[in-house]
Amino acid sequence: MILKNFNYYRPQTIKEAQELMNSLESPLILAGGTFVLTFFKKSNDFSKNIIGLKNIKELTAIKKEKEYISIGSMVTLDNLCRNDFIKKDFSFLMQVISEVATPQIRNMASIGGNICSGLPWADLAYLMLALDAELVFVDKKIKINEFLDLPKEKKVILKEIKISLNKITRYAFTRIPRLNNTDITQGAVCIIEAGDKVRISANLGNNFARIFKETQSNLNQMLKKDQEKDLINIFSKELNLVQKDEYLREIIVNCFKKSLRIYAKI
Amino acid sequence: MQKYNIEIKVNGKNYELEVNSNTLLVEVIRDQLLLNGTKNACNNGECGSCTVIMNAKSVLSCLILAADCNGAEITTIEGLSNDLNKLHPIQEAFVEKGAIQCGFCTPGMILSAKYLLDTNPDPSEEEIKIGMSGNLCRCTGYVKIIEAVKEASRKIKK
Amino acid sequence: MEEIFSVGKRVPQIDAKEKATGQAVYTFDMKLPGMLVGKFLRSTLAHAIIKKIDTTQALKLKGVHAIITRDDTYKIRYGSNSYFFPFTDDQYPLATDKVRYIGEEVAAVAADSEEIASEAIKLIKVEYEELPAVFDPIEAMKPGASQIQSSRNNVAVMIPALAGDIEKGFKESDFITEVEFRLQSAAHVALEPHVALAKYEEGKITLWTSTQAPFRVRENLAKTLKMEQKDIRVIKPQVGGGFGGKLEMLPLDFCACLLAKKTNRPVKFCLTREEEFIYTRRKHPMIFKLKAGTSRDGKIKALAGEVIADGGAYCSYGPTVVAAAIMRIGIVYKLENVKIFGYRVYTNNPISGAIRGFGGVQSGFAYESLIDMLASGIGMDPAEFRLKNATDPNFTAFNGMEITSNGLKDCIRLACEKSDWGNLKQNKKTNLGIGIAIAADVMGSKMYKSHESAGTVIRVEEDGSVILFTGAADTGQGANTTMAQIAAQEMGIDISRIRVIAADTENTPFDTGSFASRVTFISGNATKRAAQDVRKQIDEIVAKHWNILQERIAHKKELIYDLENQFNQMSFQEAVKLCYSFEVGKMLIGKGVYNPPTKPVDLRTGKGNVSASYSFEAQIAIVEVDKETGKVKILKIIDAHDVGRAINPMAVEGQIEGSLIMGIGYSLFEDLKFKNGICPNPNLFNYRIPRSTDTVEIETILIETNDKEGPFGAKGMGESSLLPTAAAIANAIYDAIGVRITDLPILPQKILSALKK
Repeated sequence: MILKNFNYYRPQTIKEAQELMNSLESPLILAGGTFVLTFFKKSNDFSKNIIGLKNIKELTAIKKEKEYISIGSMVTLDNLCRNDFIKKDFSFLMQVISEVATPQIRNMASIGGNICSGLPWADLAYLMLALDAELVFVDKKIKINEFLDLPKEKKVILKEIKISLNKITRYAFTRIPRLNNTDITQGAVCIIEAGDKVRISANLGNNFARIFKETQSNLNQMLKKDQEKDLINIFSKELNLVQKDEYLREIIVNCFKKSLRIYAKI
Repeated sequence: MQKYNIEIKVNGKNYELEVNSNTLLVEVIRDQLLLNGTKNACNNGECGSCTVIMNAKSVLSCLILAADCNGAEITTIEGLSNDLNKLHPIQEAFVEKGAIQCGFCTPGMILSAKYLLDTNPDPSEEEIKIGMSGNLCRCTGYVKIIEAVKEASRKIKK
Repeated sequence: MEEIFSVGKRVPQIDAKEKATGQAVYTFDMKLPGMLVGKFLRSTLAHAIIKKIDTTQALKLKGVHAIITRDDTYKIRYGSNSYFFPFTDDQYPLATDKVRYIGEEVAAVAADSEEIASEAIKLIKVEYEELPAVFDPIEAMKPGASQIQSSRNNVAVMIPALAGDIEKGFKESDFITEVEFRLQSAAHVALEPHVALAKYEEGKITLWTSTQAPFRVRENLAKTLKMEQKDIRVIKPQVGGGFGGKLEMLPLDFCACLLAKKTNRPVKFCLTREEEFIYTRRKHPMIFKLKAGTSRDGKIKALAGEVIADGGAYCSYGPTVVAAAIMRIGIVYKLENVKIFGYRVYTNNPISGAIRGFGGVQSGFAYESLIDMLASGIGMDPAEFRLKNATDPNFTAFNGMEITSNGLKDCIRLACEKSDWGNLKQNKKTNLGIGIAIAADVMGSKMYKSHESAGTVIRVEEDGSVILFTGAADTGQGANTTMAQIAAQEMGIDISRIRVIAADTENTPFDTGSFASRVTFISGNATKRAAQDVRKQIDEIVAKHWNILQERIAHKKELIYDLENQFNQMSFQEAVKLCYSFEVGKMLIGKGVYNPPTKPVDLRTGKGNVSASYSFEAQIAIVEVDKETGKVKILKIIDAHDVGRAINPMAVEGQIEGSLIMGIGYSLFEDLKFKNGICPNPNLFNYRIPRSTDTVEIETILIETNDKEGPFGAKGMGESSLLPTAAAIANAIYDAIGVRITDLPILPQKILSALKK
């Protein structure tokens, strides 16, 4: 497994990086490297121009603002978990992230890379979806659900991820790894109640669709009224649209049921 | 081919090195610095045998470009202790508890244990399992490795 | 027995500190000045005649030093079962007449760097005439299937296990069951890949290679290179795990040597993880079609069926793997009426060979699941059923295997006791199950050569330090430590005096290698004899010095004393000084050789005694099944093991734990897949092996039966712990949810779909 030669650019600022993005021929971004480098090692055909973001200090900050917490796209999963703001206000993120990948990968992989990679098992994507995060690019801001619907466009650098400071009052999370523990996620369901909103996000198994973009603000009432069956029906309908594998459908529905049960108990 | 100059500190020693864009940190460690304790058994970020500690974090040196390491402080297994008569407590615990069989995964294992104990000096069994989950071992079944990490935690606290 | 201070102690490996500090040197780490990088051109077709190989363009590339093809070799076939199955010597070190699987080595390049070698590979042109390929062993056995080798119907060997009258056995049965089991392939995944580094100097080849059997590598190198064994030196440095995958000379060993000879430069081959997965050796996928019957009172009356093993393109260790898969049952159960045929079938898949368990993992799952089905068929407790049929000490199996010491029934009883078997069986909890499986194994197998010798030489140096030369190959299991412990005990010295020099064909005595759980038993006996020899030499000199009969000399740790006169004593150090004194001037060298007493196997009936003793065990798994996800959670495994005597309990536990977890991986998720000869998951991302988060609680119970033939009573036990694991788990799943799984791995989807039926 040999890494072939390429031109490597190490910009110091976001501005510099964006300029390189605009001027180089088919540039590719290297963030944490945990996916891109493994891909390069296997592939014979990849971009000759690679822009590394590791030297850009601005991208590694976690800031608490009035209504948001803002996470730089190059913050590693581990640093995210160890951050005091996150520990205090988003302790569930810590718990969930510590369940995915391995310590070394968490020390290297960046939150931006995880979201932008487009990998079907990217765990940050559905977590941020449940938090209704906003993605701040050099030239635009968009909600994560809109971003995940967009065709992948690699021309612009993701600067930060903003999460509302609305207090998380309840949450439930269930994840099914593929073969053994620490393996990639093949199905997951995350339910979060924050402020007056309840959001449900899911990884529907090896495809990009993550459902329940709408707030399920009536979830608590439905659960109270024992309308679990209706909820499962809605979930299954959305799931069936995107997931053709019967086994995956079954376990993801079970994942949803389990999350509902955990959620109802809290 | 463009060259990149980096300054790194490995096991307390400073080095000025010239690397290519595609040079990996593990190649610098093994081929340029001749520190063979760090292995690259899978070369693809899956097995953890290339684990080193870089800027106080355990990382996979087979997935890090050397060009990105300018200014980095790195500890390899040789940096814990290279003296057979004066082992680091984690090395000692691995030896005593029978956590070493073929030894190929051991350097990476020990560095993962170091990172775990640096960040969590008194881990529970479950935390040890998670903390060591990035390193593959085919010989021991991990039972004695987990025991060794527990023992190391006791030794360090003393 | 004299004071026991070394044997039976929890001793860390004597080189553990070197491994813990990163100082241990593996072939993987070795570099020599002027060293070239070796790389293979591999076949892109599964079955084809090689018409022409053109290396002209590749040779012109700057930095390429040599390229070898079939024309540079003597075109001599080799194999690993030459003694009993000479016709299975079926592989050329470089493809010669045909290629028989995708990935077979066609040419090898030596170049300045890996990049150049890879470029050169692309420039070699091979002209093939493609032949029809066959990938399924059952298809391959049909008349008219494409012929891969010269054997009829692609059956390389057919091995029988025959006894009694099978028709009568079934007539006497009250319950009969018939079932088919299917077992998948798997990979060894030793952390260190296969690496070979060769140099050629003064007419001699030196090869450093990551091997479990340096003398077997030398044997086949000498044969294929047409050289004398004295002119080839094979050295085993530290080896990063073997598990049966490093037992043979592979093309990389041969090509490193030939290229070194050709270029006069050192040449190193290091396989990538992907090559390691596909192109070394893999576990035999097997199909078991079995039929068995039992009487109402729980006596197994008949066992019949056939075993079909997908061997891939060449025989490797296949014939004996199939033999081992069908023969072990005779040392586990007292059987009278047996009719089983094992077929080792050629296909155009990569080569199946030896892997920890050696056919016993596949057969363990099939037979031990079947036994449970028999027990449940007559409504008998599965542990009780096993106790009724298990073998006893001093029992000769239907196939001639001669059991001496045997702790099998104690293993079953103790495992049941420790697992609270009775209680868990009586008071069943929802989705919780308990299952048992038992196994027995050889320690050494005289099926590869006319002898199975091991030798040890011990030198006591003038300063009292000791050098122990053994042919045994430590691949991480701790053989060097075991040898040192045995020698220290026998010589009455502290282990720290000893340095072990091992597995170097030029400097250490012969040893067939580390396989078949044979090293502690066979090399251990050789070491014990060498230590005895050198101790007697010292005793003689000391007795003379004290003017007493030699029989009166006894040893404690570091001390030699007179049994009848307490004033006569001296330290080991003083004794050595005495031996090397002007007056005595005796150099101390001891030697020991051991070749286990066995009986040859008759290939027509399958009868014979391959091992001088046998080891036994019982395993109990307690599992919980999640009916929503289909996930099996193993709560605990209890392993009761007749190890004869544990020379080093810590190392013995390490073998049991490592073996067991490997068994869990194979039971639940490991699956090396092949489709039309191509492997879709040759990496650790898609071929998962157990991680620390997959470990389970393991309780090991060591049962010491003090085998009369074993060194200090010890038996071999490195492989046996994964033989019953899959069945113990499957039987526990059946107990938990009433679902019988007949094919591995037990993936959640299989449980879910079985639950629906």
